[in-house]
Amino acid sequence: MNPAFHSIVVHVLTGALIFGTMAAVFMFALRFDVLARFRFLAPAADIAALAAIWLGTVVSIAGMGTGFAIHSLESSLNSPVIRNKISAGLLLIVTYGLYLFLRHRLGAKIWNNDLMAAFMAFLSLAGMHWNIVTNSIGGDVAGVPSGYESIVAASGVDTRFTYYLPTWALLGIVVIAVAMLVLSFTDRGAKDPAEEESLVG
Amino acid sequence: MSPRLIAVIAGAALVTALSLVFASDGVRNGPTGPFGTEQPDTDELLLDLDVQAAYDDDEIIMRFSWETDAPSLYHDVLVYEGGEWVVYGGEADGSMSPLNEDRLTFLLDDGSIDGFEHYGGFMTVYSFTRMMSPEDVDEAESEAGIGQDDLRKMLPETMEDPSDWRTLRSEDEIADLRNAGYFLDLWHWRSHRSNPIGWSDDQFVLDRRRSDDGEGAASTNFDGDLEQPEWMFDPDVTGQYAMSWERMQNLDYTLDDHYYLSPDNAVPFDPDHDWQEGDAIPRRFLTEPEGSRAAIFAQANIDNGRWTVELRRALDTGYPEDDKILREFGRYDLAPAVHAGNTAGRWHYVGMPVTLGLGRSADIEAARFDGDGPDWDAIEPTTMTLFYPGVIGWDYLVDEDTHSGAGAVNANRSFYDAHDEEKMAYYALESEFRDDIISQWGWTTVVWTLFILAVTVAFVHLALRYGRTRTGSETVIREDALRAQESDA
Repeated sequence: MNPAFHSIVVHVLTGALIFGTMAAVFMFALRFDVLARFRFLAPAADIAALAAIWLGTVVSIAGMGTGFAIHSLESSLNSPVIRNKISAGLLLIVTYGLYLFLRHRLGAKIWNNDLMAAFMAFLSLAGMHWNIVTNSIGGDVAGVPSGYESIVAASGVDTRFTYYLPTWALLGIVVIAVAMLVLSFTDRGAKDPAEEESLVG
Repeated sequence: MSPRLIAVIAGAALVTALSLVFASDGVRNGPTGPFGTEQPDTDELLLDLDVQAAYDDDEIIMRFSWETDAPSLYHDVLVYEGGEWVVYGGEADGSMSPLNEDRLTFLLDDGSIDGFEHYGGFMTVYSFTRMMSPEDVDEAESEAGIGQDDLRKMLPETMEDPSDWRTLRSEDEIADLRNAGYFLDLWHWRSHRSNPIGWSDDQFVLDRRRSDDGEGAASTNFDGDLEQPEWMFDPDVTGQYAMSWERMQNLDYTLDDHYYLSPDNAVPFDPDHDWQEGDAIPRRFLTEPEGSRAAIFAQANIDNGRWTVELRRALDTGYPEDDKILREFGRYDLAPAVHAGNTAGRWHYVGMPVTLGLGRSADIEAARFDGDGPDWDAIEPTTMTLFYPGVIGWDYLVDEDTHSGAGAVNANRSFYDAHDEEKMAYYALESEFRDDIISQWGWTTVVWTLFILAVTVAFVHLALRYGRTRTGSETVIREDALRAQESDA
């Protein structure tokens, strides 16, 4: 496959996801009084975010497919930067996938819950972060790095090295994840379960 | 806010922070690699090398300079232990023995090797080359297969299939390739085995690393029958019968000391001398080289923590089948390497090719001089960044199934289109741990994905309980709009 086709697909998904992320962040920002007069735009922004993130996520899967069509899986796995690109691409899809799942599962009323709205905005921004990382690595592979990896490197992760954690750290993450789930599902909090369900709809 | 919700958020933040702090730690920074060898630290992957050049009607002088914290003047040595002479040093297995001489080498081409101008020494090593993988070809197998007991540094065209050493061409074809100029000149300066008597070794790369015709400077100072050295230091000249093993291990000798054996400072070994535990005698005896192999004169010193090495050779050595003949207004490709820090074999620093021009524009422009020698202060050095090359071989680089940049390599596009020296050093280091790293990377990606899912489930479950739900005039999406959306849905 001509590498240019992968570039075209990547530009489409990037544009869609940037637009969707901006709309999602706008939805979160609308809860502040200073923007209250724009709340009439909320239904449109919500739908715009939903549509754009759907488009971007589906095209991201296509983008991963076109990427593997350019370089074989073995050669991709042999490259430290492409390994990182694959990781970032997968996390992009997971993160935006969660956004879409929650939005469809809980409906538009999710934006009326402050914590959930913040989480949705966070998910969209996290997805955008992975999007920039994977695209910046792609630029690096093509010989035109964006420089974003320099910012990432300042956080402690050099994308020229394969990103991985030692086994003890992975086990620690699993323990923390299980602890989080236990904490969450053993909670007998104040809110009436019926009220909780009403949000789910 | 619920303490449990805060705990979930704190847990996510903690994992994120730890994942940054311990990024890519573990496998790469382990004490030993898959070869059981020590690897350079990541901050020791690069080495700057200054290069200058000058020429006159007859000669070219190459001048190299690089930083050295602990210059090594030794190679292999015979140490008196328990009444026997035991060999130490000279190991070419990456074990970082403190007894490997420092070396400076460079490959030189005149345009005969397609691709050398972009890929340099990477064209001479393969996955099957000595010490490139734990499964490299052993001596008996290569001896039986092609009559060579050591596979090191081969040019692609010397094999019918450059990915298979068994397809080495016949001796006649190899000779024809050599006559046609298909070889790389290899200038090989050794701090112990040639430099002390003012010479550099002179070799070339074709179907293997070969020495030019003639005799080299270093011979073995050991009598196998008597199991003792053949030569020892002349105490009248050097003030010592032997060196101190302890001082050698501490790299304590300097260029002004007698750290080598040559006819000028040695006498035949005296077995009746009262040898002491820890007495050490160099295992090499240096004599003036002969023939084509004696084409390169060397002069080196260590000053202010830097090696400076000058190599002088006739432009036309008279041996066109061993050396690349240089001419005024010629432009050549040069790829240097440095063995520093008591390393041997492939545990060295390499540089990508640069051009050398004699009276022509080039990366390194040799200045014309008159008289005995050039004024080096008037010649601007070219600084090259050398890097640790890992186990990346030519068969890997040109195979599209294994190397994502193989298409560019096969199209002979510039190395710098997709890489630079620093990035290449990172890739090279990882190449030694590829399987382990891929496995750890896969697990990391899986665990991170599961962690994100777990955080989401835990957070959402609590957020729905404790998150403030807006009603009435505070809603972001009003109830009538929600009803309209639900109706549409």
